[in-house]
Amino acid sequence: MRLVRRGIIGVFWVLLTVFVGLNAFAGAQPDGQEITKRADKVRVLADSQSFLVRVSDFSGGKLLRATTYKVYTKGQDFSLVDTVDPPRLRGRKMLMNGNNLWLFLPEVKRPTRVSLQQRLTGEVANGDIARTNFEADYLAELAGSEVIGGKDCYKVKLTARHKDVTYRGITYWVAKENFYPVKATFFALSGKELKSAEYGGFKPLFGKTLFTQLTIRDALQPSKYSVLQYYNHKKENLDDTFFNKESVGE
Amino acid sequence: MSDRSFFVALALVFVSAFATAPNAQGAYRFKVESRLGYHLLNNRDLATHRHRLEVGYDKRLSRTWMFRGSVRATSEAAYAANPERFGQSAGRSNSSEFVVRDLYLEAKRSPWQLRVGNQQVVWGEAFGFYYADIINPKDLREMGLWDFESQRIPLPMVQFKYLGSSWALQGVYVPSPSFHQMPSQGTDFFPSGYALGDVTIAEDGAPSFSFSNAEFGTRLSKQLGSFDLSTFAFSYFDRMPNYEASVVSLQPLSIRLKPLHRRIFTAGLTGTLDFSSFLFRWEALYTPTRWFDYLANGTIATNSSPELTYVLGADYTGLGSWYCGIQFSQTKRVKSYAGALTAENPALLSLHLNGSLWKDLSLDTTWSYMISDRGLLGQFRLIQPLSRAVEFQLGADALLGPSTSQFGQYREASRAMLILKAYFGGA
Repeated sequence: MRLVRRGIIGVFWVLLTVFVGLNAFAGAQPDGQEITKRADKVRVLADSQSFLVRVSDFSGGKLLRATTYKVYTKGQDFSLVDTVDPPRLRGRKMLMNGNNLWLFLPEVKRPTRVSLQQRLTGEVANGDIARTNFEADYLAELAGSEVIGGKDCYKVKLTARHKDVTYRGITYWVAKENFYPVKATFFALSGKELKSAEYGGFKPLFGKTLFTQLTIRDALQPSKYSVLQYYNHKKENLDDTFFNKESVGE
Repeated sequence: MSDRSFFVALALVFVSAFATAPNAQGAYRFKVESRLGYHLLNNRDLATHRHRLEVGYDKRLSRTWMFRGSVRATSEAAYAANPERFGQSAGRSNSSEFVVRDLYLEAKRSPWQLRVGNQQVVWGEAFGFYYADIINPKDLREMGLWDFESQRIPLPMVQFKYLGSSWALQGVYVPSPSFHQMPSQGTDFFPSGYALGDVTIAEDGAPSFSFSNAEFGTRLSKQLGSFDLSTFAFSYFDRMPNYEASVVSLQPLSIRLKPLHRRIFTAGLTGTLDFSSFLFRWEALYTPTRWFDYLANGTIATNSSPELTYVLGADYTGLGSWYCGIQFSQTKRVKSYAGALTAENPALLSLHLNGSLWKDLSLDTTWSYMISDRGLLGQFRLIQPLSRAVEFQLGADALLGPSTSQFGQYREASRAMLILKAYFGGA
C-alpha cells in the first residue's frame, strides 16, 4: 500500500513537472504587445536622437518630388521635423508633442496647430514621419503567422488606443527570427485599407540594428508610392523645452 | 541713450559675437521674386512690375548663440511706366527701396531664450488678416494682401522667453516704435474717398528715443492637451495714424494733415482646440481707449472709444492634402460718433481653401465678405514648382462691392499677376 502511494505521488510529480515545462515552452511565444515593442526597437536609435529622412514620391515609377527632413525625436511623444530640401520649402517645420501637431511656415512666422491626418507629402502623413513607434499608440493582438517575402512572420493586429493616432488599425508582420518589421497595412475607421508599408535597409548603427528604408504604397493606386530613406542617425541630448511650440520658429 | 547709441551698442555686440566665433559655420540664403501684374477692370494697364532680392545670412556662433541677418532690395517699375494712371508723385517713394529685415542675435539656453535686434514677433491664431498680430507694423501699400511675412516690418526689440515643457512666458521691449507704411497718393490702395488735390500729408515720423516712448508687452501661453491658450498685453503706439488737420492757405484752399500716433493698451486672448476632424481657432482683443478720426464742422476731429475685436474660426481637416477653413471676425466700438472716417463695426466672413489640384500644382484661395458693407475680396493663386528652387504662381486679387465699402472702394486695383520665385543657398 505504501509502495502504491509512493508510486502515485511519483507519477504526480512527473506529470506536474511535464505540465510546468510545457507551459514554460508555450509562454516563450510572445504576445502581440511584446512583438510590437521589440519591433519598435528597430525604429529608434536612442531616447533622444536625430536623423535625416529623404522622402521620394513616385507615380508610375517616375519620381515626382523629393523632400529631405531633419528629424529630432525624444522618447515616444516628442518630435520636430525640419525641412532642409528643396530650397523653396526650407524652413518649414512640423512639431509633434503627444498627439498634438503644429506647423511652422517661414511666411507666417508662427506655429499653427494642424491635424495628424493631414498629409505631409505624397503618400506620407505627418504621423508617418513624426511618430516612431506603434506600441504606445496601438493595442496589439497576435493573429497568427504568415510568410511574407520569404520570411516567417508573426501577424499582429493593431488597434488604435485613442482617436488621435494617425490610423485606426494596422496589420503588422514582424519576422520571427529577429523581430524586424517586414510589412504593415494601414486602415481607416471604416475598415477601408488606406496604404501599406514595407520595411528594409536594415543596418547596424551604434551597436543596434535600425531599418533605414520604408516604402509606403497607396492601397487604391499601387503605382503611387513614397520611399523614405533614413540616414545620418545621431544620439542627441534634447531638453523637453526643445519641443515646446514657442521655441520653434525664426 | 540716443537712437544712434543704441544701434552702435548693438553693432558692437554683433562684432564681438562674430569675433569670438571666427571659425563658426555660416550660410547665405537668397530669394529672388519677380512679379508682373495688370489691372482687371476698365483700363487693363500695368499694375505692378516688381523685382525683389532678399539676401540672408545665418551663423551658428556656439551651441547657445546664433546670428541671423537679411536685407531686401526692391525695384518697382509700374509707376514710371504708367504715369497716366499713377501720377508723378506715386513713384517718388515707391519705385525703389532697400531695407534691413531681420538682424538679430539669439541665445537659447534652456529654459531661457533671448533675441536682441531687428525682428518679428507674431501673436495670434487667425488667418487672412492681422488681429492679434499687433507688435510689428505692416507695409500696407498693397492693403496687406498675401505675403504676410514680407509685409511685416521688423522692429529693433528685445524679446525673451522662459519655457516650460508645455507653457511659455514671453516679454517684449521695443525701445523705438515704428508705424504702418501707408499707401502714397496716386497708388492703387490710397483711399479713393479723399479728394486730395489740395491736401498734403506730412511725413510720419517715429517718436523720439526715450524710455517713456518705449513699448513693452508680455504673453503667457499654455498647451493643455488638444487645447492651446494664450493671453497677452501690450502697451504701444497705435500703428495706424490719426490725423490733425491744419489750414496752410485759404486762397487757394490747402490743408495739411499731420499723422499722430497715440499710446494705447491692448489685452487679448487667443486659442485653438483640436477635435481631430475639426480645429477651432479664436482671438479676442480689447483696447480700452482707441482713437479714431471723424469729420465734424468741416474739419477732422479725433475721439476715443473702447474697442473689442473677436475672431472665431474652424478648420476641417478630413480632406487629406486639402485644407479648408472658415472664419468670422468683428470689431465693435462701444461709442459711436457721426462722421467716422473708418468703419465702426466691421464684420468679416472669410473662407480659405488650399490644396493639391494635380501632381505638384496647388491652389490657394481666400474669399472675404464684409457683411457690414457688402464688400468682397477674392484672392486666388495657382502655384507650380518648376524645380527644387523655382516656383511659378498665377494669381488674381479681386476687390468688389459698393464704392463705399472697404473693399469696393479699391475695385480699380483688382489685378491678375504672374509671379516667379527662386530660392538659393541655405544650410
